[in-house]
Amino acid sequence: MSSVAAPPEATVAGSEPPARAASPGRPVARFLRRRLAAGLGTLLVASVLIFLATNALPGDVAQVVLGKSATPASVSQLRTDLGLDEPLVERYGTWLAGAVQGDLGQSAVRRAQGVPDAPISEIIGTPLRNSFVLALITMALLVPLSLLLGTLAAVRAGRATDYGVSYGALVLGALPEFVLGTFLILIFFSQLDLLPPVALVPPGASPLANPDALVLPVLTLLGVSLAFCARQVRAGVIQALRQDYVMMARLGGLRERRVLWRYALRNALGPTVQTFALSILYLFGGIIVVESLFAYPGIGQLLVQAVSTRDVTLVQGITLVLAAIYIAVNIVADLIVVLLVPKLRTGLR
Amino acid sequence: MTVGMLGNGSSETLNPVLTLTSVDFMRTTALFDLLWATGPDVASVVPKLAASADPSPDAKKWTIHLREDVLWHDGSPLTADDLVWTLKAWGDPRSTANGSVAPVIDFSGVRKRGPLSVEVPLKLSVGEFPTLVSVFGFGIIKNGSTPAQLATRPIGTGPYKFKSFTAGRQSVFVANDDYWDGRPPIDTLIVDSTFTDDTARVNALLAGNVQVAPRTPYLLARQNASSSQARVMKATAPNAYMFSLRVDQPPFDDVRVRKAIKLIADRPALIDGALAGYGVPGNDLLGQDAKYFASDLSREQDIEQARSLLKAAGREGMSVTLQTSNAAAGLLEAGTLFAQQAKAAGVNVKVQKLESSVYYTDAGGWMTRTFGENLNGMAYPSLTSAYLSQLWTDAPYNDGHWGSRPGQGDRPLFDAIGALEEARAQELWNEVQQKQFEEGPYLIWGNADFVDMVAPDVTGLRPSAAGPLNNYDFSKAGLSA
Repeated sequence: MSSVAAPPEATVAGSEPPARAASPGRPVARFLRRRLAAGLGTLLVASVLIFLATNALPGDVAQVVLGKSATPASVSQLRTDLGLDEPLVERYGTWLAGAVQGDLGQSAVRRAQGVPDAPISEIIGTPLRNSFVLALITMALLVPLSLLLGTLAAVRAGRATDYGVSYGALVLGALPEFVLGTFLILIFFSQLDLLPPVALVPPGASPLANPDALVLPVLTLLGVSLAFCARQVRAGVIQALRQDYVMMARLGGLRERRVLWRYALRNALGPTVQTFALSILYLFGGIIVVESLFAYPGIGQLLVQAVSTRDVTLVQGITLVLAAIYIAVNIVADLIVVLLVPKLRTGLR
Repeated sequence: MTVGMLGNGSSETLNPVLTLTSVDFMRTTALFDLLWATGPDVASVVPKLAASADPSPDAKKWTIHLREDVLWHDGSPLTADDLVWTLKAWGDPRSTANGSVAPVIDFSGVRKRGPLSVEVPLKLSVGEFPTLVSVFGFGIIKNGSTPAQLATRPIGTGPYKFKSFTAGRQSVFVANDDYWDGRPPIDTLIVDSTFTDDTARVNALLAGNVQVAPRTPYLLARQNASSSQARVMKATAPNAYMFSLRVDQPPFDDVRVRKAIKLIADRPALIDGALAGYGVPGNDLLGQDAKYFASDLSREQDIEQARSLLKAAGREGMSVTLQTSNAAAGLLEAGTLFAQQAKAAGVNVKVQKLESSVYYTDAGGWMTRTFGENLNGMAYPSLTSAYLSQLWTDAPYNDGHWGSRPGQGDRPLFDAIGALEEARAQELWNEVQQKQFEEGPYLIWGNADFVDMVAPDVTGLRPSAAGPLNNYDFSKAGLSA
């Protein structure tokens, strides 16, 4: 009986000596170091791509920024102001060196407007915080909801509950954000007049000061991402339920609830955490549409405006920050997976 | 009162010398005053900071006299020095004003002629000089103002005083108790430019978050026309949608081909298709509604004549590429519709869509394209202003390259611009416009309405042909109790 009661990692790890699995400290630290190094490398490559891509855009930056009213004199003045006369490699070096110290440079458009000092890091601070607030609230609801619904659907696989959850999620997930958002506005504002259709936040105010306004944006993001996450949880749990250790646990007489939460779900969490990580990344991308729809002053709105006003340096800065967030989220997700799923931890060494 | 507008992020500015977009114009009009404003009928100017102006007999020198009772927001009085300083700012090539007045004003000769009088010498005779400075980009700034100060703590003479501003987010202005034209009825004017989506803007209006949504897209205005939460205000306006034909390159270097293209357009169909019906047909002439405009000329679709003109020019069944973009609403739709209409005359128009971000850059072919599309967006307050911008050899926006061939000389145009006497001016302008109508580089198919939406309790705002909400004139804006 002792082999049945043992934690699943011992079963899966097979020939590994149990002592190894019990002291995971060093391999995890080494894993983290390796992952961080790879992350920094990726960020460096991303920075080169971002810099090259924004510079490869058609049209000289100064001319693009000044637009229809550009005159040769104003273009050359702005080129000098922004240091565009320097060679590309030197400009990249200056930009990267600044970015490492948290200085993302100056907004090209603000400088063109005669503002003497327009640091990008200051411009993106508040919108970034606002987007984080929206993403965190959504995640705080998304994680428990998708675990609950996904597990429920897995346990009742092939029955009405499963179909209800799976198809309901599929329909919601198939809708683009702007359709779902518009639909929610139609119901909760136009028809019922319960919730505001926009989430305006005055400068200096906290987005949490007016929680009513956040309901529809969060529901929209939730509706679109819940489908994907719940289905991943369902698939993971179903697969885990078919494993030998689950059968052994059941044969051993453990209660089904314990089997489910302690054995099946925990091992199903590996791919699920990655799914949540993908959702966070999606939230930072899909949030652009939702922020626009609800006029919420986040990083997505700022990016849209920066692109439409061709503020090239601001676009560079925002994109680099988003890339860094993507990479950081990935590292954290990998780390959580390793800590959660014992069989990975033992395989690290 | 809160005004909801599409934002331009970090490019938004409170500096009236650098305004380029609607949201900047809205804000700078609240903080600053012009010398004159374009009148609601477009055919006249309304004095603001200027009390009067006297031209020399040859109209080559204008003396501007300022109002006596005007105070800056810091309490100091308006003087001639302020106007001299402002003119200096317009002389900077980076200013919005510079493009249109650099060929006209002799900046080096500007002189103070009294405590409230300034003499402005011109490089050419201009009979309607006040109209040239009655549009956005010409706000009057205080002596000594720097771009940095104007961008962060502006001091104007306008109906509202600066309180706070975050570019791409929100500005807060308060009523100017000492405004020379009377204190505005409301205490606070907020302009929220967080919006990047028009539907969100209209939703915010319906929900009461904003009270004014200027320049509403036509379809949204139509959908909400019967709402009890909003009122739609509409003005027929000289907001010109046009195709530009470059007159110095084949195939449009042949006047018969240009005329054929103009005869192909089914103008009412273009207005229905591209502007949802919110507009009136154009007659290929710039400066609709302005004084001396030839409103008696008109052109309708005539496929047969177009075919015979093309045949005579040896261009039967020709193929041309039309460059367009989403840079303004309706451009792409108009281009696509026109391509269909052209088939009836045997002309194959290939519509090439360019990214809106490059449409107005060298890389996008701005000012060099053979066949393109444009929207003027604002009323020209005079024919002088329209033609100086677009229709002479060295005009800054001469995308049709008019004046590049013998016979297109600028002489009758500059005689018309210099004429002070009305009958003489009318005669000369008729001549100029007749030539443009027959040979000019523009197919101006429609003039789009200005459509704005406001909350039902908003008072003191009015639609006008001069611009959205009479060029964002909020000096009398109020809210009924």
